[in-house]
Amino acid sequence: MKGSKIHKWQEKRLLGKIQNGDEESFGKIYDWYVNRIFKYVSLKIGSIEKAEEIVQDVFLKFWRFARDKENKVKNISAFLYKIAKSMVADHYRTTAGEGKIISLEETIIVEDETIGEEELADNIDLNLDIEKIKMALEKLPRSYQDVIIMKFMEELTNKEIAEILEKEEGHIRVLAHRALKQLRSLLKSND
Amino acid sequence: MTKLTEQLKNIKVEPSLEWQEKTRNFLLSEIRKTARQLPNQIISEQRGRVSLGLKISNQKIQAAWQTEQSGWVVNFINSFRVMRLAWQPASIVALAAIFVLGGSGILTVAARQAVPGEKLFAVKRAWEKINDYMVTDAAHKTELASAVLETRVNDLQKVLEQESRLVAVEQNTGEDKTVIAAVGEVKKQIKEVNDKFEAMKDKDKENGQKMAATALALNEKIRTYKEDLKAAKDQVADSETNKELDEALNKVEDINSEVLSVLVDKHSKGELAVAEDDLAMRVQEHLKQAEVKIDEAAGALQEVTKDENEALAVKVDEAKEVIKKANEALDKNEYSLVLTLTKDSNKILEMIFGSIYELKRDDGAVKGAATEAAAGEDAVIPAVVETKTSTTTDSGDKLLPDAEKTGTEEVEKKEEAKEIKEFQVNILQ
Repeated sequence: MKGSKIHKWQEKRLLGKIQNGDEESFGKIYDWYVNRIFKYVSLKIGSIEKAEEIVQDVFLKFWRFARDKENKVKNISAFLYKIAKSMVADHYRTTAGEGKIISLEETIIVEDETIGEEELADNIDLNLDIEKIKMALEKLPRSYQDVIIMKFMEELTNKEIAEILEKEEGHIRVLAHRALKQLRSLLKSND
Repeated sequence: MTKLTEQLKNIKVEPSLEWQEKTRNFLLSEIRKTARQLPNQIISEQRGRVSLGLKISNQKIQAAWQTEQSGWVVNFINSFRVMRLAWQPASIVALAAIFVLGGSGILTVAARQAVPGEKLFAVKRAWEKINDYMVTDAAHKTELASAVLETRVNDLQKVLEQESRLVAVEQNTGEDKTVIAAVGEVKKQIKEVNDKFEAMKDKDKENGQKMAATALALNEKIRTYKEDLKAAKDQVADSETNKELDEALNKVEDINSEVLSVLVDKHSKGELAVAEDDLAMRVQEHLKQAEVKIDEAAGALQEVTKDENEALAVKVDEAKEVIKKANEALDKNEYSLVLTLTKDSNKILEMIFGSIYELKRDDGAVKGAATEAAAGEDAVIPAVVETKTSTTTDSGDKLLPDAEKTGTEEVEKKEEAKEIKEFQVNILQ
């Protein structure tokens, strides 16, 4: 069950049960998403111990929010990533010297900059390991990191990423293109 | 050369299994603590109860409105409902016959307003039968039977409303034969819907899409019938009438199970224009009903002695286990298995409720149930199995069509009754 795709109707059903205080349904959601959220958080902050702590809090926050019948969670995946993203941002804020400057390139999206998926998948002969990726990711702007992790490592759709990052779908396509381009050049230069 | 995106995809970053398990346990223990702390749930549940009360009130208002309105208006609406179904030439002829022969007369209008227990109700039933007789298409016959069931449920609401008015002005001391007759008519019509649906399944095999569309419409309607019957149950204090309504609800749920089986089958064959999510929601809703029944059974166990309780509790656990498997099957999108398992669980629950009812009746507790319910205590028996040993109702055999009472079914019925009897004896020992 872990890591497998969860259907929308299953989400609705589990959320309904959670609102009635069903722990087992929460357990199922945890099993489904724990690895993904952990991957995202640990790659973003680079510390396993801290990632474990954050992931634990992400799920606790999720339970508290989803349990309240006044609240509505439309998409569990997007909601969990949003909490994780916000907690990672909190972590950055409390950790001195790790702030990143958002590049101008990252914020300006050119309308006609449309690219196909195949263009993103450029061939590269690199013996990638986690350390190399981490080092390269650290040098990327945060939104590039998000897109690289979510799109290429977690395999979320552009629509899902757009929902999590609260951006237009078209914007995500462009971000993905630029992020991959920059990552490639960083990996080449490090090699 | 490997694509960069491929390499990124294959990078594994996973927490240790030990940490996953430890964190899972920690989170579950934390949420158990918060579950005890949060008052929101109780407030929300209370809100739910309040809204249920409002819903019942609205239904009462609607029923009262219908009673107060001119018969012409209601007749017109009802006629339109029937016309909406009448897309078959045969039925158009039938409708024309009804309107030409009797539609314009005062007697017709009065008969259409008649409720069970009134003399003109027989005229109303006769018209409905004529209409059914004139229709030849099996799917349309099912739709027509469903439309008549809707009328029967409305009749019951009207009768209950009239009764509550009489009680309010102290002209009547409680529920009389009219309510019992109205419930009986609802049950008869449920059986009719079941018969027509079964006949459609046999005859319309060559027209899968039409059958799927009818099943889908019936599934939608069943939701409304269940809600209305539950609301009616809330207004009835008498335990016998309650039991009859429980049987009606169980039968409706049985039909729903058959309807869902058709939908699952048609969906797998691509003959049903419904998304899988939608189908899953419908199956899930049916499963939820079984879960509610289990909770009711567990609650009803409190009303029997400790020894009996223990034996029945084992059966409740058995039903829970079956439903757990059904939930697992639902997670794997195995809808047919969900329906089979739900049916199994319902069978166990029927045995449990049947035993509880027998035990309570033997103790003389059932007779006092109406008084207790009137006093505001929760003494309603949720459901009763139809057994040979039961002498309180004639509904058991009525629910089965005469034509279907074949030798095999008789044997099955006897075996089932024997099984239930043995089960009850074991509990009593």
